[in-house]
Amino acid sequence: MKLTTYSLREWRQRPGRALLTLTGIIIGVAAMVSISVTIEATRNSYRHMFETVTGRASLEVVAEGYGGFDPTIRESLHKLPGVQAAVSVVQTTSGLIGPSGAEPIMVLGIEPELDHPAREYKIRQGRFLGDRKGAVLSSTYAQRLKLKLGDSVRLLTPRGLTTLPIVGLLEPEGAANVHAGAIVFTHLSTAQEAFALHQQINAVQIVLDEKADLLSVQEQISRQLPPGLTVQAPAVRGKLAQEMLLGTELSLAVMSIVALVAGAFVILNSFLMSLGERVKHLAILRALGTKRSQLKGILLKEAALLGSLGTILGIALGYALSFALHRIMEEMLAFPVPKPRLDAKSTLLAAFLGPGIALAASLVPAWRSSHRPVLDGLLDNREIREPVYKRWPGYIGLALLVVGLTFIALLVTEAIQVDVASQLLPGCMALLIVSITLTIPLCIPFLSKIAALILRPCLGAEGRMAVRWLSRRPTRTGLTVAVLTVTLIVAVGFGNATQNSVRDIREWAAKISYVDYYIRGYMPGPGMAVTAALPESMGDEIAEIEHVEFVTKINFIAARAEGEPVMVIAKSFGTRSGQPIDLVEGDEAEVIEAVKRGDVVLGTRLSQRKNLKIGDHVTLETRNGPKDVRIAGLATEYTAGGFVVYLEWNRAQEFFGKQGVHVFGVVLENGAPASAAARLQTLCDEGKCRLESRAEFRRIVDEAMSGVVGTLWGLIALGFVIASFGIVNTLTMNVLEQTREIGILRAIAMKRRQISRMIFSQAMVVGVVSLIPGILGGIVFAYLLNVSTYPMTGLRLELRFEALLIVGSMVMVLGLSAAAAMFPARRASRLQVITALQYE
Amino acid sequence: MTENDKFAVEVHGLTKVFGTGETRVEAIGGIDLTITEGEFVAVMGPSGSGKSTLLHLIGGLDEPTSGRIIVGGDDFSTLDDDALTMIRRRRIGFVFQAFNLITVLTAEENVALPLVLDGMDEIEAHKRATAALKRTGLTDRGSHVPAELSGGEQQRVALSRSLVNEPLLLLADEPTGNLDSATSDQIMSLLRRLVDDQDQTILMVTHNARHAAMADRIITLRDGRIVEQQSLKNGRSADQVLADLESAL
Repeated sequence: MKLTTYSLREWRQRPGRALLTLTGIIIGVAAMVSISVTIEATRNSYRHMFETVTGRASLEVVAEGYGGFDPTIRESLHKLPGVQAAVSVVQTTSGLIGPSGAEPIMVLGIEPELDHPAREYKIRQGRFLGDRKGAVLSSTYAQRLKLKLGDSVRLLTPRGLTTLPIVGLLEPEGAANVHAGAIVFTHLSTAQEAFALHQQINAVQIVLDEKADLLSVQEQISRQLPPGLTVQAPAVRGKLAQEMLLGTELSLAVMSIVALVAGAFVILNSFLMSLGERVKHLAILRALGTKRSQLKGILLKEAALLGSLGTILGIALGYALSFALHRIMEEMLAFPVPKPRLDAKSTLLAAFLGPGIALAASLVPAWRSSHRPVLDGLLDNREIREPVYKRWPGYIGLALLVVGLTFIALLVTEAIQVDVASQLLPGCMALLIVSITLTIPLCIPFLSKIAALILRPCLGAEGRMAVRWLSRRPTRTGLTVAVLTVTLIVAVGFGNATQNSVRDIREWAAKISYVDYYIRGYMPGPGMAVTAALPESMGDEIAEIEHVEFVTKINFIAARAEGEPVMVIAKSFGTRSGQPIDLVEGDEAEVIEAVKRGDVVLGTRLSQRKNLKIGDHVTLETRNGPKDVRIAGLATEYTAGGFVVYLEWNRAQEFFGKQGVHVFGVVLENGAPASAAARLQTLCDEGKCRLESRAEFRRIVDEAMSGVVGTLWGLIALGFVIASFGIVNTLTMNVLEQTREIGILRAIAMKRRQISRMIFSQAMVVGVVSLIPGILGGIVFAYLLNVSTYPMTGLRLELRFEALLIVGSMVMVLGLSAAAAMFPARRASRLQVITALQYE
Repeated sequence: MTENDKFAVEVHGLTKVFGTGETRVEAIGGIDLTITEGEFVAVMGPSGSGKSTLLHLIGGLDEPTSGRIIVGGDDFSTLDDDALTMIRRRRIGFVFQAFNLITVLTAEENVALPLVLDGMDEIEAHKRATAALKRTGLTDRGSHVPAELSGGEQQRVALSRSLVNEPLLLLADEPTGNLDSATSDQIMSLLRRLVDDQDQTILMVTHNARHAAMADRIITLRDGRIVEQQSLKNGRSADQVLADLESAL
């Protein structure tokens, strides 16, 4: 027999406890893995999307705003030392008309005879691009859209619908695999024509010699380039999207940390209880000659074993969950994100954190067990099992709370940089959670009295006994209350902040959607807004429709301002009143007039990040070189995470060239008949683009927000489930310890129902005790999140407390407490009097 | 006692006080005691007289308030927790009234436990555990867990476990307290045989005068002090001893 056999049998003897401990680890690890894997997949999708398209090319030369430029530059780049090949391309986004309308696709126009240094193409069927008219695409993508060789693809382009025959199908490898295969390769000249580039290209991809130094070649190229062109790594194109995702990633990271820390406390609680039950066995081991270090070793090995098993199961569950999260991300971004892959980083992190947290959570119980006097256990003196509660962990908790709140104060007062704050925020949240958990037991006696007062009228004598029992186990009760409190704080705090954000987004969407109809290629992701470009001439066709009062053109151009990637929103402004921009500063009429004259409006996040105010100048990188433009106003903007610059349409064309129109906004005359909308629909049907009413647009935003709120509720529910495990644990342990007392109470005529009520009362007291600091803490947390939103995002959100959320959380806590009491209460009430009296 | 006899246990000026102030209780109030190797000593006394406390102190399970305990030449007062644990592991065997078996382990595994803890090879440990069980008459119950054994069998397992390391000293705290009289007699016979056949040193706490009479010497405690010591090696009959004990108690 090995000592591990003993450990395994002990845990087998208590399958419920082992399962709870495992669940704590599994949920914590699963949350971490699923979030990490999904974030990684999303990041990679942006990074790899552009890297895969460029193939072996390590650099690309592009115009600011990704407009067209003269291809003759390629020759000079090709001759530079360190450059193996320079390949001209047209790389753009389009919409491919599929069975259910247009869907996003990338188009790459190449010179087939010169493209091989950059990419390899494996033809599965048909031939590669030979003549000018023709397209090749990934065989898997073609299969998905039920397209075959010889069929045609129809693309939305600034020249209208462009039809290209499919001349070849590619193996889904390399560039053909990008964007889940959603890429069409065509001849450069075809792309130039279709996308109205007039012999121009929009990128030169640079393949380097094997031994060339990337940075020095980049520097050389940079020196060669005329103003308006820039050289960059292909992945830079995804930087703005990654910036936009930072907020989501941060929230998810915080949630995964909350799950991990809550899981750790469940493990700690389970271990304390498990070791409490095993006091006698552990004392026997000590009496038989087990050294303290040996005993600690045995217990820590158990923790490591459970931690490892929980980690393996947690990784598996996390990986499975990542597919669900992946779908949410895909819906949020509206483009195919590669399937989640269990990457080495996430696996290693889980492999380290799972057993690490299990070990950390079992350190204190293991130390306690090994240092408990042998006789205490041997004499089976249950009254002395729980060590005297020491106040010092509470004081450490208070100190940590001060540290955490100081960090928030520094963030709110903008004393620390946002980048640094973003990195430190998840850690700070973990610190706050730990500090609250350590501090709560200090308040238990006081809170218990309040709970007793509240519950006295409905729980009677059983309630008073319940309070006494809980007070006799301050550590256990404290930990249980702490986990529940933290869950409540996170639920109320995060929930309220999210609801406030969601409301702000809805209000923003309502404000900016002042037109009656939108016309676009397809609905892009709510964050990025980029879609296929439609012909500018379509605007004239729309304007000619009877009862159309005004047509506005909108473009979304990826550019750079003050060295940061930004989204330029180019807009044509009409005369009709409305709020095309959700201004937070500046008079609307004056700002619009200023923008028409050439000034810009900045998204609040960009202004916040760069500390730019109205009247300042912002430097925009344009195709004609850097341009300083005056800031006329600041606007709330959720597109591209708020890294937005509003430009007047003509000014944007001057800066970035003609790029078609991404969205037409149509305003109808007051009282326009339904036929006007029908004409618009006909026009869109002909052009295979999408007509969307204002109500529909708001519904789409509402649905996206509902998804966010749904995910939030899911995460909150997960937190409550973890916390309820803690209550089950505590009550089960209390019932075990109270077995003799229950026997005595039954012997002196307490009814089964009263016993059940006593255990139920303990659960309700725990619930009520956690409600007080939980709701108060949640409100404070919501306030802190609200005040730290501005330095992080530049958005000043109105702080409104959601009564439904607060009441809902309270009901959830009390409901879960009651549910958690069911099993222990039934167990207690069914105890046989004699068995209970003889219980050791 | 002859000059050649060696002391298995020496206790000098031993005191143990629990609590302070008004709750102060002197459980052991200055005991001097020696036990020679191969001697069977029974400790008797009324409840609260300090019998079990004395046993716990000599077993290194508790720390004295003052005084010295020397077991096999090792002075407990000079040992740290690890060294004391090693003494418990290798030189002292315990038998408790409540058996104190690990419920999740089989009888054989319970017996092998001190050897496993000492790092002995698993096969060898089990071989020795089987032999120890055999010595207490449990040849075919090794694979059973304690819940499947009778009280007497459980106590035999505990006895086997206490002997498996061939300890210098066997401490028995009311070993028959939870057993019926027939089983108690069997256990006592086993203990007696250990002394007679293997020169095992035993210090046993008991309430049962008839069982105490099977020892070589009886120590009577009252209020934490030795009030009487009787040697049973002077040819007195068991009935005489019992009569003396009853009057002393």
